[in-house]
Amino acid sequence: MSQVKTDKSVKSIAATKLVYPMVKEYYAEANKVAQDHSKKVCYVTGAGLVDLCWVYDNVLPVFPENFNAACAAKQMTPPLLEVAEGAGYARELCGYFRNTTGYLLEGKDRKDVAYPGGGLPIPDFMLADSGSCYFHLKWWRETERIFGYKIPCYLIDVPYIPPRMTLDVLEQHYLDYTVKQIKGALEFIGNATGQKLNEDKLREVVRLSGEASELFEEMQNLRKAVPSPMGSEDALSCLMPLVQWAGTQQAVDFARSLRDEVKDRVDKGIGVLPGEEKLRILFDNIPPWFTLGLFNYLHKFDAVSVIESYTYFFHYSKGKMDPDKPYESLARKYLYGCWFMTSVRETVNSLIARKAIDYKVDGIISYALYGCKIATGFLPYQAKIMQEKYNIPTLLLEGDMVDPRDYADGPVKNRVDAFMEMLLERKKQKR
Amino acid sequence: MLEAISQLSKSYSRWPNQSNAVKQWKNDGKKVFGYMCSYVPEELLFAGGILPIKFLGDSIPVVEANQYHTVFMCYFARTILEMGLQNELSSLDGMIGAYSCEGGCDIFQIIAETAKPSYYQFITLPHDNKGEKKELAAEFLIEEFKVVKRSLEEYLGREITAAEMQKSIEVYNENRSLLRQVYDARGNVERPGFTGTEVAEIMNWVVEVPKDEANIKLKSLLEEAAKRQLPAVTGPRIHISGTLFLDTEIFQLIEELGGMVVSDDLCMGSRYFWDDIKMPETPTADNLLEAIAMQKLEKVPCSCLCSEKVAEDRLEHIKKLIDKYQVNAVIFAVHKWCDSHAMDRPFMIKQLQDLGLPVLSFEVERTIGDAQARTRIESFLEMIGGDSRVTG
Repeated sequence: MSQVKTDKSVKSIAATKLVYPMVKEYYAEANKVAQDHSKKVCYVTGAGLVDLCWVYDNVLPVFPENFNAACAAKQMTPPLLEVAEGAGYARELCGYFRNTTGYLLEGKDRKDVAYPGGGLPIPDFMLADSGSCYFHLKWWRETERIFGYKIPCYLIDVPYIPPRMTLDVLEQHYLDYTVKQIKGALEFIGNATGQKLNEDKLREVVRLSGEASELFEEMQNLRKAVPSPMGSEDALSCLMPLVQWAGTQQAVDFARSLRDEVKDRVDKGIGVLPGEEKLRILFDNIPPWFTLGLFNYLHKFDAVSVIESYTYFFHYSKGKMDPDKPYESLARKYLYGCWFMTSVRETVNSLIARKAIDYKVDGIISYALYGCKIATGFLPYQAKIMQEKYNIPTLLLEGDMVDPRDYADGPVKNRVDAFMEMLLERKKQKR
Repeated sequence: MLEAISQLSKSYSRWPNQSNAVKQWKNDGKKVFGYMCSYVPEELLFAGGILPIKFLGDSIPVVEANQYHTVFMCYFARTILEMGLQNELSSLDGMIGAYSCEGGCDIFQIIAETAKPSYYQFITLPHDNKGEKKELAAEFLIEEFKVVKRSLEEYLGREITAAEMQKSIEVYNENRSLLRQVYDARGNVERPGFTGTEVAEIMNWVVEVPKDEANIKLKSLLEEAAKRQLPAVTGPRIHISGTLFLDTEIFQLIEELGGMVVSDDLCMGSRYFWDDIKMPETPTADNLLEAIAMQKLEKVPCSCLCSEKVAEDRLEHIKKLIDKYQVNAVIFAVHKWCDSHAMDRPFMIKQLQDLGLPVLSFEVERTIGDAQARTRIESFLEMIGGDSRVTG
């Protein structure tokens, strides 16, 4: 299988280095249970829903998105993307969709390829939500078709939060609609697994999901420190345990060890860079998983990508989840998930701008994904507002999250060079 | 072209500030709203004395809009933003959109936020709304429409009554029935009443003018069509699938090359009017609103929806039209960057081909009739021309 040469990232956090072995082990288990049927394998996607799977002890949830990101990090996506395109799917569709589809249509039968974790097992059932986009639901429907409608599927239509609302005040029917579907999903999993819903276990899952979220949020807040204790090259990789195991003790333990490590670095004043941190960057949107080394490249300019929008998408960052109100807590978590599933107005002013200010960033790098219309369309508008209203410049890069074929490393770095030099000059003038 | 159809363009414009229908309505002291997407409850606006006009976009260069929105978006929507940035939407008192497709969600908000109309509303459409999810989806959409109704009443400073809603639905249902008759007249094998291009002109006009006036005009057009002596189509009879077009070029091109569009499932075509709103037996403001919502959920779906087998449902609609209008071939002309349609397309093409229908698929950006599209359509029509020609 051909490989595309892009930059792999270099990590500086000990906890991050544990992630890939965890992923490998997890997928190995997923492939094992898919063979011996000791547990039901469930595909999950979207902003969450994984919590619901952990309520049942005989379910093993698997994120195809994570598999796609792992394929991209191992720089092995192009042949899979080409299979999907050969089947008629347009090249401008979501890279995640094309990679998984290419794998399911043909890639899975290639015994000569060492896929991450041994590959993606075939599921017993599927769950998805639109907390991160409606395309996820469309993708799952297409996957149902690929499986010949033999694999049961339940979708949670998490409604988009329109401009008339803020994240603090949601209309009741938005919560009710999501809550009822969460109940429907739990019933669906119960039917698929032959297990009854255990309400105590549900409360426990919500407690653990909330605890991991709080620890992760605490860690995110620690990243406001100057110098930055952890850059995006680490943070983006640390997300997987929180996404995959939300609702389990494992996620809590990982989030705690990460929080402790970051706190220790802040207490000791240990930054990402060995020397002075001259520039702080906010990285916006899903990253190019095939070249996370781009974040290390920033170090050349004494710059660190100190925070990301993406790492805010998968945990509940608006206070505590309440185990005594498990359905409402989960609904709020899914509704508050991905920022771009909230009005453009709220996303730009209350989320991106807020973080840019809180994390004292000098500039924003927005990654415009041609396959992801909802997360990308408004980025030039956001860049204008950030410049005109908040005086924070944005570099807009274009590409896909897992498709390296249109990514030109040299020109991207040229643009990064120019942006960094401009930011350094601005900073000098401010002084 | 029928003279009366040529005259239709005088009553409206793709540029709202230049539309006579808009000017006339506003001269009477009434409000005009622009809307994007056919999931917006037009009937509710019309009941409140508001003229709803659909954003049509135009085949213009997009320059300024690229500073506000990425180019990864259908050209149609980007031209509307361009119009807004050129201050060409300023005659609109309000704007209303629905989150149907992902691209439309972002760009509609940017259009509204930059054009700053005095009323602006955005509806979240439930996307998984069939089978066991139908009831939940209906509950949610009805609540969304109630929010819209309340906000409209606040804006207008008066209640929108059940009687007004009932009247509006009757007018819109009559419009739907007349448009179906227009399609039947076009699809008539022996003696077509309209050409494909003429029907495309009618469709552009009908979404830009008050429906009660449109109904009067449609009746007279149908009378004229009945008296017409248009020759039977001798070339391939084409069904066209997609969303909408910035002009009528594709219809003209197909006719110029010897075929005719006799059927479609465009959102500016049959999907706009095919299904009526079911009038409740004892109409009240609540159940009329519910009836409008149910029609949105039950009508021929847009590919943006994520219910189970949406593409199959669309195919069912297409197959019925193929039989009804004796279609020989299908052309998919989908806007580049339209994810929803691009997702359903491979499956739909395969299914239609399995029925023995020739299928051509190409992507649309600003224009259709460039040399490449012309060559492809020409070759396609030539390829299918032989056996499948209907000589009527």
